[in-house]
Amino acid sequence: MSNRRSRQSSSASRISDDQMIDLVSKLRQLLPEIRERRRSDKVSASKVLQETCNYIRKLHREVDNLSDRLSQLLDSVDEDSPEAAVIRSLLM
Amino acid sequence: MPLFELFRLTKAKLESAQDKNTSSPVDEVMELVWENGQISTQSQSSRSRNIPPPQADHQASSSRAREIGNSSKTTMVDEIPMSVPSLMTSLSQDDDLVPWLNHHQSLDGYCSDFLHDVSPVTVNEQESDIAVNQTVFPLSQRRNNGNESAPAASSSQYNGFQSHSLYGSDRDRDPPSQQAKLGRFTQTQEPLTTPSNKPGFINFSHFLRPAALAKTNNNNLHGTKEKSPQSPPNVFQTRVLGAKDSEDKFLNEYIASATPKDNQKACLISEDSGRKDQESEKAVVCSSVGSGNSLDGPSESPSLSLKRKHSDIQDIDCHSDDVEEESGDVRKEAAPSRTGMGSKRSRSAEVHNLSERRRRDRINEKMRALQELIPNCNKVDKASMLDEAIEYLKSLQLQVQIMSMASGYYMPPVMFPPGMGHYPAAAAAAAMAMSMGMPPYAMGLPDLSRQGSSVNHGPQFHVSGMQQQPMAMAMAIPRVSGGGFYTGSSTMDMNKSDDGSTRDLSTSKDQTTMKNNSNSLKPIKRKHSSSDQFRGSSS
Repeated sequence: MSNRRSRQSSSASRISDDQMIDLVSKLRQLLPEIRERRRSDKVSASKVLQETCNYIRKLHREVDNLSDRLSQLLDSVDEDSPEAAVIRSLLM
Repeated sequence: MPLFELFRLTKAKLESAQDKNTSSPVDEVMELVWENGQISTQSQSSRSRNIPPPQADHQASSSRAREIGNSSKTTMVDEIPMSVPSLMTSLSQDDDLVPWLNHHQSLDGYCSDFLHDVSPVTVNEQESDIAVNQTVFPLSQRRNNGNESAPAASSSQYNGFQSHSLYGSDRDRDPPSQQAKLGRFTQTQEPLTTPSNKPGFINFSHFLRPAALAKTNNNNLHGTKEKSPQSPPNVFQTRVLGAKDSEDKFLNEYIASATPKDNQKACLISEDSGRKDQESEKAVVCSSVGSGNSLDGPSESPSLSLKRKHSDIQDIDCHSDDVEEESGDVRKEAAPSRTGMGSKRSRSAEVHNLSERRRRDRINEKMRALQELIPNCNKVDKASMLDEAIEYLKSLQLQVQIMSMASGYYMPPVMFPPGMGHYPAAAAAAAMAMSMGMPPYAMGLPDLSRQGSSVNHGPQFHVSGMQQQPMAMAMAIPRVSGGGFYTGSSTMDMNKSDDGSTRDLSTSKDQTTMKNNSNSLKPIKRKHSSSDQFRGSSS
């Protein structure tokens, strides 16, 4: 019984461990802040996840700012110009 | 406790009501009233005696104080009869219910929780609103709902009724409707239990069906397959409170007939039924959680519960986190087994396990936060969720990059007044630098742009269309920011590495490497040179 349990847990954790390592490394590549850290080997998964959350929130804010700016631009530009079409496509 | 008592009383009342076909409600109401804290019924009188008066008094007084605060005992009694008729109308004869109730002691805490959950559902189904409303009643003892706002009612009965109905259900409290109900109840009123039992009773009236079902479950356990009240509320039919053996049967039977919401509850509850009472209480909580989430994904939890019928209760409302929790529990269980062998090793192992557990909890917490950030993420699996997070992050980066490019592209011509001569170039370049410097992430990842062509991103196609446009647009729009346009086009070409001079790429790269160096002169100068080139071409 213990074997089964350990096998189950180990099998589950085995899959997730490998995948976790892989995914965490991928995330780390995407995060510019973490990339600049010197001790890049020892970054823990929780740290990576935290940084990812922060990064995503930052990107959200960026997107919001940019959409605001683009919408302002859209207002200032003629409606029928190709620029307006482009801006609109970006906003939506 | 009060639940059982109330149920018994209800049952008794049922029989009495059936016998009588009451015509004089008031009289009947007073019949069952409070006789030394006990209800005397026509039949099954022996059972009714079991109600503990002091406890009932306490409960009654507390509940009263909470709800209405100024009603007398008689009013309480009057209120109870309201629930009775509902009970009667909905119930079918369940003779065995009482004995079942007697020996399911845990129903008290158990029922109130899921009754509370059930009440909104059953409300719609049941004809008598009051019973439904009253189901939440017992919860008052536990949760002390502040929801009750005793509205100004014409009669004390009405008042009490409203207080009951306010409990947790969302029925409308329109006075006319309630008065109508009142009228209905007065017609079919029957002397109800003592005020002490009222909370429990009210709760119970709604609970009756599940009790019946549970009882049926018990019967099934014994081999007989009875389908107890299949009348309207299928909700309760799904409440299987029987033993584990009949779990599958009932699940299969009732889940098919029940509504999605009920399914969840049924599955969850049926899971519990196999366990001990304490576990069942936990499961009730889980079921309440599940039912709370029912609106979002009704199909999910039943399947989950079905699959994990015999798994830990904790798996009910936790998704993939359960895997780690389970493994943690397993390891924790294994640790104590080793304590006998090598205490030192086991202790360190325990410590290790604990720290491991804490680390895992932290990671799970972060994963959940990440899951919330990602839109439309319905993945249960950790790995797939991380995959989606990675994709989302990439797409977000690309989006920010494109938008910044676009805003930088379109901004300068708008910002600068026409006819500025040389200024536009420098100013536009400065503007470009500023806008470029703003999203350091986006611009700091030129490799992303190369991948951009493969990413199925909406704006991307438009942006690629922009590549041909800039030159045309720059030519179309006279003077002004001719320089600015060109600089913008240069930056755009930079990001779309397909075309565009390498020089643009290098210039942009230099620019991006200097984060937030919006006012630096170097990039401007370079831009200037490139813009000169463009300007020559445009004119």
